[in-house]
Amino acid sequence: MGPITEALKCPSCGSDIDPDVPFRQCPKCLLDLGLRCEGNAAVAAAPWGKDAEPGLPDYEILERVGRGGMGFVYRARQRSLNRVVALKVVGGGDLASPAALARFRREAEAAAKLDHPNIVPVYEVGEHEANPFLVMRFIEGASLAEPLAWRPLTEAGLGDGRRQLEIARLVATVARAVHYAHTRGVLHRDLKPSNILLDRDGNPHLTDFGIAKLIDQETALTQTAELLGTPCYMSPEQAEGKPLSAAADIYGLGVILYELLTGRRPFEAARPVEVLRKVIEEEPTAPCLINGAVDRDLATICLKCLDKNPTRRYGSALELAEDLERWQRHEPILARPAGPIRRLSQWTVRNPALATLIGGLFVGIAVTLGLLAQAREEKARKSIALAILRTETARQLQEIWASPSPFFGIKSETLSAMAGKEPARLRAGEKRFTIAFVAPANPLDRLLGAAPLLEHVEASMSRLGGTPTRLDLRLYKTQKLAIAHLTSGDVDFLQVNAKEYLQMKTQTPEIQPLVRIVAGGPAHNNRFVIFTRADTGIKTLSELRGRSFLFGSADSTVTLLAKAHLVEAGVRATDLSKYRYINRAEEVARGAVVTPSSEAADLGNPFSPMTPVEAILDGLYDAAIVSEARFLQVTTTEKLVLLKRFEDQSALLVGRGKLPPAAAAHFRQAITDLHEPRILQSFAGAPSAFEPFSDDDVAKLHDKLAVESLFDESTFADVPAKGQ
Amino acid sequence: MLPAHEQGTGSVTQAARFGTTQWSLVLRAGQGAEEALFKLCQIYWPPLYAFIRRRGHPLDEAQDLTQGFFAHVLEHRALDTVAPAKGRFRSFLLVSLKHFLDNEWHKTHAIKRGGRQVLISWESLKPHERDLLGPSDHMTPEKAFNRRWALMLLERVMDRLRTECVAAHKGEMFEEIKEHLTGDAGGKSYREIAAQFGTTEGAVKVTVHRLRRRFGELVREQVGRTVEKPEEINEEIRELFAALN
Repeated sequence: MGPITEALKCPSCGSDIDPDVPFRQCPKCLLDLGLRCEGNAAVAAAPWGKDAEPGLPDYEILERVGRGGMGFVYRARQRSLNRVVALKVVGGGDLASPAALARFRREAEAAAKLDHPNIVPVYEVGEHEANPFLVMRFIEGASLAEPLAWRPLTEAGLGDGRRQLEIARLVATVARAVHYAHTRGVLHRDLKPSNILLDRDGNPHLTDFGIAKLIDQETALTQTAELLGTPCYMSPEQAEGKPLSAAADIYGLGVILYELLTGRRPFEAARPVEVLRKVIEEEPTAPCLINGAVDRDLATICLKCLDKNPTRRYGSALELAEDLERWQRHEPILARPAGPIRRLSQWTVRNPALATLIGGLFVGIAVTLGLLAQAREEKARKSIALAILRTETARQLQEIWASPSPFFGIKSETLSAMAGKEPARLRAGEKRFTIAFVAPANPLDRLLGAAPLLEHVEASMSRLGGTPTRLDLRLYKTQKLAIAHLTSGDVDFLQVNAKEYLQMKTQTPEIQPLVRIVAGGPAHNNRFVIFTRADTGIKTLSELRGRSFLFGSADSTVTLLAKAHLVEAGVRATDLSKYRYINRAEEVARGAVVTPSSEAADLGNPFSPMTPVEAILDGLYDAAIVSEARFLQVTTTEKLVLLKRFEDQSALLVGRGKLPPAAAAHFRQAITDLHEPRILQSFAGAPSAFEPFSDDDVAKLHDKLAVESLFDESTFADVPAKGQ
Repeated sequence: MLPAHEQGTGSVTQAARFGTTQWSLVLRAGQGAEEALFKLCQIYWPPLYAFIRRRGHPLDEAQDLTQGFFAHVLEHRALDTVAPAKGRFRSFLLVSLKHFLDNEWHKTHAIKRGGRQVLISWESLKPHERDLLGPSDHMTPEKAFNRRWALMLLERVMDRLRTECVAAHKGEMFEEIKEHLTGDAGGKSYREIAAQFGTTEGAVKVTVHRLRRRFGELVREQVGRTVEKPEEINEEIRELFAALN
């Protein structure tokens, strides 16, 4: 052969043969051979021998009776013994390697030693011109795969119990034959209707023990369904390429039983790959659900054979045969329907995200199992699972709230499940952040109210950052601990009021302001008033000297602003006869507060034993702060006097120090882009929008804080009184 | 001179036994079966590599990318998730590869991932196997892919036919008459071959005829494994034919 650069021309078609063609012949002419032999099927005999028929000296070919992935089956006369036999000649190519041939011989010889009335006897195993062949008893009849053999079993009403008895008897007979082979160390490996021949009396005869899969394993999976049939009869372990045991044959028997009972195979799909996937992943539909006439016990026996886990099938083919025989005698069968625990575990394998969430809840297991087991449809199970997730999370939340635990954490997936959405699959590489809110009471409302907002922010952040992003939520009982956790970095985002922010900022300057929550609703819900009783005679803030005052909670921005107004009016702590704060933590501890979601609502809580308005009306204090809305409700009685009206602008969302700048930027953009009323209204306080929090805002707050800090100083400090 | 695979040089073609292929391998590779992936890689690297080369990647990079593609398949079940719109395995593999190459991400990871496990022994390749650019400068990457696919397929069919002949103790005769597969003009004459093997000219003629038919059957069988329906076999052969022009 010349150097590879030598230009060659095809002697037939004259085209150039490129130097990189490995076999140095015209590829076009070679490919054309494939077109020219159209009509010959994909699998054919080797080129040697008379007209592709095996020229075995002792056998006279009578007719070709079948062709499969293995090669051809002939009805032949064995001259020496003058008997009619089935001669199966295997296409040589697939067993071309000496190792494969040796294995074939070994398996075929083992099969030849089987001596059982329901197994087709193998008379001879041999090779002829590299093609292995088998000589077997010729069974007059049809295989179970042929429609004629089928019909009497499936189409006649299964409601007639005799048909089901017939099926059970048939499968039990086959199972006993399979068991016999197993006890002699031979696995069938490829049980399917076409390998069960029915003689004229309807007795089954198993054929192709051990060998079919040996030959097919190189090709069966790889061929398309049209060429070689589907992998419908394959056990999950086979589909996964795992080593096989007797359990794989028991599975095959289960598929045959299933098909006889329902007229369908447990897993069907257009593509072999899909079938394989179903075989591995899905649970078969219960036969009774396909055909209501199928006896439940018979269906249970069938499903036990089809268990994905080989160890949960029958321990042997004999056990299967015996259970089928018990059923025929109307005795109790040993197989048990998959119990709720099994069903749940099967279900959890398929729904890992949901299952993990439920598992994480330590739900009352019996309840869950009971509920899940009742649902037959996958869809129903999912919605039940979501319902369990919702109610259980709610229950646990209430429990935690009643316990000393300082906060309740909930994963993003659980939260969306609680909001009625199926949780997305957990994905590798996703970013997770934790956002914290403080909910002194009614945490469930707070949680559910935050869900749509967080979902929106998650989606936007994922999009902006190009990575799946999740926001887990923590609800804290006290702002103090939430702030501590933000400072320590356990929490990434936190809602705080302006005063808290400023205090945090002095200790942890890296805390980043992100957005201001713009209060929504009617203006008087966002405004606060300093007021007095009509009979106190007080007309201006400066006249509060010597009088008593009731603030909101000590750390609230509303209190801060009220103090700043008092300072500006020349009133300091020492000028007041007495003052106190409404201590929210105390009220929460007493269970007195029912619906506060911000300090405003807190102060105006009508269920509180001491609302500011009542405190003033009762004469406990002379003046107080309260939301304008609450104030307006009472002024109709003309018992109260407004001294000062001011806006609350306190709620902020801030990010921890060292929060990646991109995350901060994406969070800010995601939340400021949010304008959907439905989402805004469900969030606590029903804000109208989120605005970027500007330096200007920070400066203004600083001024207020500076003024407020004077409140506790001596009245003689020189502060200009500008108040009313 | 014996074909490379009979010299035991450890060339890729030797390991790429005609047999297991396609969807089952993809499925198993998707499930993390390294052996299946290895097999897939050994069988299908040449067209993939040819495509990558034609896209303009230099040798080293193309080798890394080819390995990287298979490693990607293993790590990300990529072949498993890119569902084939049609049943053509060839188109499917090409789409998956394009997918992989279009993903910017691979560029920084290909070398690392490819280097994790040596799937193809590049050192054992002959110079023309390392290049695989194809003869024409104007060839598109797709055409290079299809052309290499056709050659790979024919090479495997040739190996298979040779194996069958060797098993039937006709190996030596095969080597003499294989040149007649594409026509009677090349190689030794039938008379010479008949004399060499002590048979008649007519018998040689019949053998050649059978060999051609068998070659055709094997082509159809091999193509049949990569399409969804038997009706598509002819169309697929014609498309491969077009890539050889």
